Amino acid sequence: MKTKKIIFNKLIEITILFFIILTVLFFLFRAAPGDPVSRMVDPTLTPEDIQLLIAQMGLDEPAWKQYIIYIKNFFSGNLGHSFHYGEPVSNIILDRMPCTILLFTTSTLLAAFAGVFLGKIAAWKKGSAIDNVLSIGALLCHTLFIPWFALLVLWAFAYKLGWFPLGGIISPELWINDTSFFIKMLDVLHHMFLPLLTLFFIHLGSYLLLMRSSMLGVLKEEYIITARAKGLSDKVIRNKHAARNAALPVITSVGLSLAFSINGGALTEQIFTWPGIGRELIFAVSNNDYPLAQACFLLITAVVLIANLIVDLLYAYMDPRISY
Amino acid sequence: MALLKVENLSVGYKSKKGMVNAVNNISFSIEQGRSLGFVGESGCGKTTIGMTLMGLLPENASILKGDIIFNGNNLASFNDEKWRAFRGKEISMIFQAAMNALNPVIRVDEQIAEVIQIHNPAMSKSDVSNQVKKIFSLVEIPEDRLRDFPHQYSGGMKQRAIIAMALACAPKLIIADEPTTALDVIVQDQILKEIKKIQKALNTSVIFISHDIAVVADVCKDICVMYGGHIVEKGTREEVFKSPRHPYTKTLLGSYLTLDSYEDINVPEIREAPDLITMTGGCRFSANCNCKSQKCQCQTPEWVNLSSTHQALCFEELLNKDKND
Ligand SMILES: Nc1ncnc2c1ncn2[C@@H]1O[C@H](COP(=O)(O)OP(=O)(O)O)[C@@H](O)[C@H]1O
Ligand SMILES: [Mg+2]
Repeated sequence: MKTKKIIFNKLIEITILFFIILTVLFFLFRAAPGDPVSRMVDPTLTPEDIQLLIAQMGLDEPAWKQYIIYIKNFFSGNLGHSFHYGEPVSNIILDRMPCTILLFTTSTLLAAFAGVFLGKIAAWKKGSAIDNVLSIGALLCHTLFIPWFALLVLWAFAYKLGWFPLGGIISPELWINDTSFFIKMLDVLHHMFLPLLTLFFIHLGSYLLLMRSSMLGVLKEEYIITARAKGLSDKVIRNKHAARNAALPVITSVGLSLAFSINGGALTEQIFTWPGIGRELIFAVSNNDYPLAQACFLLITAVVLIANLIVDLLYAYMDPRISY
Repeated sequence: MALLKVENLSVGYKSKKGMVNAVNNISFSIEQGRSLGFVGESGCGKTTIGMTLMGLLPENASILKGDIIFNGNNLASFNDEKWRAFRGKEISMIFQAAMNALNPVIRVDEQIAEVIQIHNPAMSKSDVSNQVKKIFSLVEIPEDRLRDFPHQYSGGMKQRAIIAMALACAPKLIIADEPTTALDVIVQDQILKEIKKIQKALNTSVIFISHDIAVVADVCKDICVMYGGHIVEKGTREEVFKSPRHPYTKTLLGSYLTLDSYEDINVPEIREAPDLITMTGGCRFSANCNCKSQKCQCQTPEWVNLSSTHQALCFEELLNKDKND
């Protein structure tokens, strides 16, 4: 069918893009200053030991040879071993990935829905007290300095009030004992609440403002007058005729921000010691752990590409005028 | 009794520079099954009249005075609730398709079904969809195009869909505001035929608004010529076309027709747009008029009866002077 063909073409496009980015990343890391071995601070290492280590890691080969090996390994599912952990990178990634996905999709989707809903109301009541409160609030969210806000939240709700844990994703004692699945879920939610709250507010502002301005534009369209001329109620005009059109740019923005949220979210993960990809990425980059850093970036690339695919398809579904 | 009777209606828009007197002291009426045309250059207040009759004036606009009696109700005193039940049911409007009047993300049949549904809440879904089909066949859109989205339609089909939307609840009066302005001539012709056919078939009254006097004359038996918020001449189409009396009507006809019969008329040329904010009380056309009379600039012109149906807003001696030229 037509949609199947579209998806197929998009997938090919994405695959090509993915390998281009993979290649660029590979050489970028090799070109970066510093070497991984010098970070493994062990004063007893002799220069010979260091040479040996470098050879073990395959770093004595020329870059293009390393690249060919890397690609070969990639296709056999081997992303290499982390210099630091000494473990296969894929294990580390698979371990961190769910945490990040859980946190970011939840916060982005919640923020998007809330932003669309509140932005719709703000635009509909333009100039009213509600609009002013929402707009100023959104502007504040938008300009929040992430580390400051995250630390503030952590300090207030975890340290001062003690309502939430200071970090991590689980309380280990619950997982050693044979606790029910439900209790474990509650435990994860309890840990997730503060980082979620932080990310929610950080994203809420821009979604709200985007929806508000998009909705204001739509409300000036001729078809809104047509809808009023039919005698439809305000609620139907607002929700059916205006909001659906106005939400289209927000969908695009969700796709884009999912990309940035993983990078930008690294700080949030760091502060709340959330064991996700972002935190691992910061660690890997600052330690020249090429295989790990590269894999983290590749993963982010994949997520961004797939998110964009989903956004494209969703957009086509929401806006009948679009066909790829 | 007339279906709609508008008396001494004035509508103004608040603006930074002052009140824009977009519609001034106009009176007209329309009988059931008749068609009345409003013609005049852009900005003369035609759309304002249409929007006033629909209760769709923007927030900065207000009815300054006058009565609008429709079927025994004074529309000027309607609240939001009453307007909602009224619009689309008793009076409906045909908008310009080229102006994005159809919602791009909603299927066409749904956009028509929702008018029927809102004004007939008790009607079953299948009755509504049958009604939609009936209206589609009336405006000659093939049934297999019902479920399309607006962008899949041609300009002419979109306009037909908009007409279908206006007809959905069989209103007593339809206001068509420049419905064919952006269409090419052949499609325009088809749409005008459609409107005339439907008007006859359903015995609906039509108020037809256009800047194009040829189009208005095609559709309407009665014509009001507007200038600067005033109706300046009204009469049957034959009267206005064959013996235009107001200097502005002559200008308007002169700009569309270069028939021999008009060549010898002393046609004034429009040099400046009327100022709608300052009210001098004089004739708004005086700055452009060839009459060069002092009287026009300060004294309010009066309705001069030319026949039982034909009137012009001027001064009797000036109209006659012109005739003697
Ligand atoms: N929302 C508005 N605010 C202020 N002035 C307006 C507004 N809408 C229309 N006007 C003015 O009112 C006059 C009549 O406009 P309109 O009824 O749209 O004329 P037409 O339909 O004949 O072109 C114009 O001079 C226009 O500038
Ligand atoms: Mg107009």
